[in-house]
Order: sequence, then structure tokens, then C-alpha cells
Amino acid sequence: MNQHNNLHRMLASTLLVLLTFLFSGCVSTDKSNDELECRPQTSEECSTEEEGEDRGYDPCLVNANLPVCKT
Amino acid sequence: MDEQELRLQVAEVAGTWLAALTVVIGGLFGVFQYLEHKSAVRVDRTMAFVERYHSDGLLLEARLKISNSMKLHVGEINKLLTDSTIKPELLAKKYNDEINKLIETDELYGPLEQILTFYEQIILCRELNLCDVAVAEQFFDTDGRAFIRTFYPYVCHIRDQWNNPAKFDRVLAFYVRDSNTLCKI
Repeated sequence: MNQHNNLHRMLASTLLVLLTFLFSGCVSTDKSNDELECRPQTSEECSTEEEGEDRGYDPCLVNANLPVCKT
Repeated sequence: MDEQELRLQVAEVAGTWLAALTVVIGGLFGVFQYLEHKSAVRVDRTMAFVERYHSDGLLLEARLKISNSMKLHVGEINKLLTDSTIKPELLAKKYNDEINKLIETDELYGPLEQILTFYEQIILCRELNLCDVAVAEQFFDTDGRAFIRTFYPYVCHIRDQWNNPAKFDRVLAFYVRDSNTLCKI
């Protein structure tokens, strides 16, 4: 009878440990999954026409002899 | 030892192993979740930079001003770069002068400071392992490299003017492999 109690106690402890780990694992993931969107005060600046397309120009595509292209 | 005792002993041993296994699995699961959480936070931080790049008023204004200036002067710059009469050893100096003249004419000092500081911040974020390297690379490196290749004469000019050879060193060294010799022309 005593051994039965020990077994039950051990199984209960095991279950408790398992639940603790599972719970701590589940709550560790960040819930903030908000979609990025334009803030109201700047929403008018989000059109592609106004994004400031300065990204395209690369002098190395015109002349690769510039020192900055060789390094 | 009768059969009942034997069964209890087997159950006790099995229970102990089960508990140990549970602890290990739980621990691994916790570690995995923690690492995943850290990775998600890094991506979120990088996306905050992307959001700033595309919607921050000052940054957008700076990019537009540079973009408009480039539209006006790209013909002259290309003409200079493709001029076969210019000796290769003089090309860099002439390019530097042309870009610095453009910056002075169109008053691009402020916008360039804004953009270069922004690129320095995202590079610092990557170097400190606070931002996701792969995401930042996809969003910023093509633009950043082209931008530095175009406007590095400004960095050289400002270093010379302020007697500060380390000015914007982080961003220049990040995008140009041998950046130490770049301004020595």
C-alpha cells in the first residue's frame, strides 16, 4: 500500500514538472504579431510614387573603374 | 520477492526514467521556445527599421530630395563616367568633385547625414546581434551599397573638413571592403 502511494506521488510529480515546462514554453512566445501599416499621420506618404526612389543609381554599373568599385 | 513487489519495482524504475525523460524533453522544448522567441524579436526590430525607412517623415523627405537631385544630375554624372578622354587615374578625383558640387548646389548635406546615420544604425543593430542579419540584408544592402558607392565623396569631404577620419567609418567599412584607401586620392 505504501509503495502504491509512493508510485502515485512520483507520477503526480512527473506530471506537475511536465505541465510546468509545457506552460513556460507556451507563454515564452511573443504574441505581438501586428501587421505593419502606415501610421495615420504619415499615411499619405506611403504611395510608391513618393517613396524616394534613390536606390537605383550605382556608378559602378556605368563605369567599374572607379576605386569604390574595385575594393 | 513476490510478483506484486516485482511489478512495483519495475513501475518505480520506469516512472523514474519517465520523469527524467520528461524533464529533458521539457527543458529542450523550453530552450527551443526561448531561441525562437529571441529570433522573432530580432525580426521585429529589423522590420521596425524597414517601417522607418518607408514611412518616417524626415527620412522620406531626405530620400526624396536626394532622388530629385539625382534625376536632375544623372546625365552629367554618366557623361563624366563614360568620358573616354579622362585618364583612369583622374576619374576618381573628377567624380568626387562632381558629386561634391552636386551636394553643395542642391544642399544635400542634411539629407545625406540622415540617410548615412540611418544606415549606420541598422549596421550597428546587426553587429550587436539585435537585428536579424538575413532580413536586414534583403531590405537594405542593395540600396545601401549603391548609395555608398554614389555618395562616398561626401564622406571623404566631411572627413577632410572636420579632420575626422573616422566619420561614418562603420557604414563605409561595411559596404566597401578596402575603405581605408578610398579617400586617399
